[in-house]
Amino acid sequence: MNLKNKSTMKNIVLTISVLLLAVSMFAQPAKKPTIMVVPSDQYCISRDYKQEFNNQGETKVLPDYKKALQNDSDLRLVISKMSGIMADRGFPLKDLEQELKKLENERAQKDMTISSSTGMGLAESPIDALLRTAKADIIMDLSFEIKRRGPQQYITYILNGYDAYTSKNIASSSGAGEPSSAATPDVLLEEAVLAHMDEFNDRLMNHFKDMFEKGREVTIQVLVNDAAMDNLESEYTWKGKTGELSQLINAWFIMNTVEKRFSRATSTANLLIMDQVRMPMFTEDPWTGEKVGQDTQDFAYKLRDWLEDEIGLADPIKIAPKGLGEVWLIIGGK
Amino acid sequence: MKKLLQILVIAGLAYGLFGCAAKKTMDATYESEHAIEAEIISVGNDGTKMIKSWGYAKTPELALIDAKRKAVKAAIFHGFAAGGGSAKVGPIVKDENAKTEHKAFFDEFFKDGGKYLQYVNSKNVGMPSGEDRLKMKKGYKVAASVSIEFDSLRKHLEEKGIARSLDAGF
Repeated sequence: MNLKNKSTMKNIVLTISVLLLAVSMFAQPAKKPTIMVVPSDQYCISRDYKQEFNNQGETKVLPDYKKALQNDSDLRLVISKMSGIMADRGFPLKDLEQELKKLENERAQKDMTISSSTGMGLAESPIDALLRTAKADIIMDLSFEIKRRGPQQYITYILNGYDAYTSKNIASSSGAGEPSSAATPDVLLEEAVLAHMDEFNDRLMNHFKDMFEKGREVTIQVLVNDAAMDNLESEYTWKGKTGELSQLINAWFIMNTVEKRFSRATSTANLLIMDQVRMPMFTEDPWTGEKVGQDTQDFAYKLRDWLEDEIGLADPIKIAPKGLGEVWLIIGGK
Repeated sequence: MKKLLQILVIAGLAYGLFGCAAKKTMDATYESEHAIEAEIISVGNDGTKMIKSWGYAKTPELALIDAKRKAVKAAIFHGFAAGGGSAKVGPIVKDENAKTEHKAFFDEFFKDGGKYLQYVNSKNVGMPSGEDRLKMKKGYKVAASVSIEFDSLRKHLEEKGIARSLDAGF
């Protein structure tokens, strides 16, 4: 082979390598978080958009989103404006009204599911049910008020972004607009949205950056059912070393979290709570081997498989998702 | 005679030292990116920001052009503090190294008659006057009220791979 051929060959190999690298880098983007705007509890309850919910004998007052959306044109205007801006930034919002309709349709199905489970879902409030059905990763909690000062009107506006996985506040923007005697409330409301969305989105961007660098934050609880043969203090041997089950689970978290970031919040014989767990954004699908976005349930399945296959736990393990960012593993729960 | 010569030399040195320093300070005020004075005056319409920005030049006309250029620079590299009924607006380009990494792009973008002019519209009718037009020792300091096409500017920089978009990585 002469020099010219060698150089052409080298170029082809280099081009193919670069292409393959590019494909592997860009073919599997992370699961895009879904966002939904929800009026705040204060906004709904203070305007009488509320409902009562009986939680095991205790009556709770909860916001009635359906009533709010059907009666409050200001709210609809603000949500619509925000939707437009977010769609423009690449995040079309989940429509609260559509999600409420979906929830109504699924209610009957949900009741059937509860009766066949261990009863973990019984205390689910309408809000939890909405969040579970909508599966929004981020909730934009919105509150605003049209106020008067003499002949002038102005808007106070509060927008908080909550990570539905952890309930942590990840972005916010609030403030009062400039008073005006000429502008109509509609114009002032539109102005309030425009005035705060950039600040909110800047903070949201910081959150996304953090998520890509340090993983998504979730909570995993390991519980022991009365029917189980073992508890978290039972001793097992793995890789020639014997330890309590809770210690071995701790080791699994060391191996499977981003930069070993997690915190053991509670550890007793029957309950182990791991919070601030930073799970990787991606995982490999066990059947297809494809790299896909990972959710909390996928992460918990991995722990269950490890306990069954590697540790040899004889008790069955039930996986019970509690919202988006929390999963309970119930030993002896099947 | 010798004493007079000594005094002259010292005076010359002192002028050289302090004169230059004073000139440099003025240059820093005129040229430095950090000397950008721009603030939000009110919430603009969809995708725009209403900004008041100051420019410096030998003539008021050139100072007005400088003010427009600085308003766009502020939007890209500095952002704006809260004001005029608006919350704080962060810079479009958050990476501090972007200015040097994409120097060729920005030199072209901000050249006289450059593309930056597409994203800024003057709201002044005629030349600014009164407190918005200050005569200084070496020229003029002029304030321009401008509307910046903020969203279009951001999209342009995102498309060019200079600014990170909100949905990057997803």
